Amino acid sequence: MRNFLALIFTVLIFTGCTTTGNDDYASSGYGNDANGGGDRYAAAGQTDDDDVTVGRMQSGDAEEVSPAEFRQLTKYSAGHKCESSRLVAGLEQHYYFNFDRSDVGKADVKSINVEADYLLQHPSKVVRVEGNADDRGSREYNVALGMRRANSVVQMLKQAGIPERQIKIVSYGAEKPAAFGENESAWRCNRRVDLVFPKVG
Amino acid sequence: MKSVNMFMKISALILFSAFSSPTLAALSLELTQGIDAAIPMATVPFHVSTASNHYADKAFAKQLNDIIHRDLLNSGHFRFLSSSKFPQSPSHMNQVKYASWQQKDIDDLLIGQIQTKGGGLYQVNYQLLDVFSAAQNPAKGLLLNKSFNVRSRDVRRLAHRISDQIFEQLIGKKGIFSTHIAYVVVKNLHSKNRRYQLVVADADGYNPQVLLTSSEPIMSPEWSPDGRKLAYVSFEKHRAAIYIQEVATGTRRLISAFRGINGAPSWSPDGKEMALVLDKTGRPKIYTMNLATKKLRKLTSGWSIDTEPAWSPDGRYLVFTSNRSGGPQIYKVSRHGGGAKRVTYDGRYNASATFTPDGKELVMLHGDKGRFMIAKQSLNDSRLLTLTHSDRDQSPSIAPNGEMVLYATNAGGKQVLGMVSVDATIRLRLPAQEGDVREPAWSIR
Repeated sequence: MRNFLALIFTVLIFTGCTTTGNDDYASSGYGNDANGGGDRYAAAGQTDDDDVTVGRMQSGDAEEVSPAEFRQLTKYSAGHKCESSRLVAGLEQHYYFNFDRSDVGKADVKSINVEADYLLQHPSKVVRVEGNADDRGSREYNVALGMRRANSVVQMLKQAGIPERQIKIVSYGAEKPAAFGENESAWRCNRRVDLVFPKVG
Repeated sequence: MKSVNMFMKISALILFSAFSSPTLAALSLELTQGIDAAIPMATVPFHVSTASNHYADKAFAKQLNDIIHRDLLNSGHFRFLSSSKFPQSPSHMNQVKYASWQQKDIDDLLIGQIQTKGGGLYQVNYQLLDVFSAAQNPAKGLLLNKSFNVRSRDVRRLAHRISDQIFEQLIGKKGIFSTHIAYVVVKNLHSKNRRYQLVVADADGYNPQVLLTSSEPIMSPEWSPDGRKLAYVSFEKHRAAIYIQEVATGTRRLISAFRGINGAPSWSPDGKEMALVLDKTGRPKIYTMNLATKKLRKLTSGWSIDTEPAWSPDGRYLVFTSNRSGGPQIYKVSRHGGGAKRVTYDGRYNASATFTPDGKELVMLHGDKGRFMIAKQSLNDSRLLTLTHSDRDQSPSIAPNGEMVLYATNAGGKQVLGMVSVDATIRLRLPAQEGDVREPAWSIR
């Protein structure tokens, strides 16, 4: 019976049946604000978000990476041993995909189930599923490829009973490469879905 | 439930900066291939009648001449007689000895006069002379005779304006020297400390102005048809959203933040609608949004990935990238939606299509055996002509006069911009000095 329900659920997903959720961004991104606009004004130099600065002139920001730091950082990208993840509930996970594929490997299925259990036991926790693609070709097309992979993982989480409000989804396409190089081992490290557990609140 | 702020007014960043000091350009333009039949020209340093500030006046004159010279040289249409070979240095028309220039096979001669008015103000006059016509009749040979009053800090703007006038006179097309480009810079790409910036600069790469800085990616900048706003995708707050930012003021408006993909914004030619990509129904599809009412219209359907919409110049239809036949190809669909028709048949990967201003051709990204290059195709037939011979090209953007294509490429392990003319005869590089550069967009102004 459970398999049957899972099948129905999967079919419903494929027919584009959307579930409503409490996600901040689920409703129209630009709609009628109840406050009648809700304009917010910021003084010069102030920003809305620590990570974003709008319209400020940057002058001579070198931001050079020191040689020691560079050696440390390129351990991350040289050699192309893809970043692996210890299978720990609530810890960031990385899943890798074959060329032009978005189906989840068997070992990764196990990991997703562990993380799904974690989310079921901690209803206040949220997971962000981040899709990625290697950087050949069009950047926007790569966003769509990355999303296909992210969707595979999200479907599995939903099948395990995780509600949409606990799942954030984004595809970075090729914008956040984990490895560099014009070869298959680098590309493989970028055909990747990351499960990230942001601090909530 | 948190409400999403629609308008954020941030204090002004004035785009057209007042600085005229020779700061290093973030991108420098280098011609690597010009046309075979380049017009032979000579630009004589403008004569300066100096007043008190001798040094500053000469610096102004030199900069003016240098920028005009570089603009015209980088257009690929001209070749210049080196000043060591000049037969004379005429300051006024009545001093020009046409025969001596004819002997050097010079077609056109540029001379000028600069008068200081005090207080950093100058009167600049120039004359463009057709050497052969003028030799018979000086009045007939005078192609252009212009006068300007400018402040010293506006030297670049004036130089570009003069280059535009000369280009239009001799080539018969509008110049692009006074236009602007936008692009994305990534600093510390090979580290976890990445900084993404959305930058606007003069078409020659000078005066870069940062419009947005973020620790999360920025993608797909697109100029509004009036050249006053940029639409782009920002991943701030770890999700994709589309913003419109007014370049002169920094005022920013969020227009799309649905769950999942919000991508590839593209302005309709009348500026009233935005085509974009949303996957809120499960697959990425092309939509158009009325910018006043925010109403969405879904143009495509089905299981495929549909992305990268681009409007035809007459606004009647859009082309887009779709993998509905297996791999990415270009399709076209009416602005009202309905059946999509395939446009590209050459090769297994075609994407990122954009129209030439006359609406007759598409420039696009073409993949062949693992190499990605810029190509063009007429809409009447499916013959593809490759314009570049690189490995890793992306994101072509066409100049408003339809002549040059600005695109992203790789050089020496770094991401940089390149330019190629639509007929593939002119090539330029724009090596970046800092960071990796991608996703260029050329403004109409």
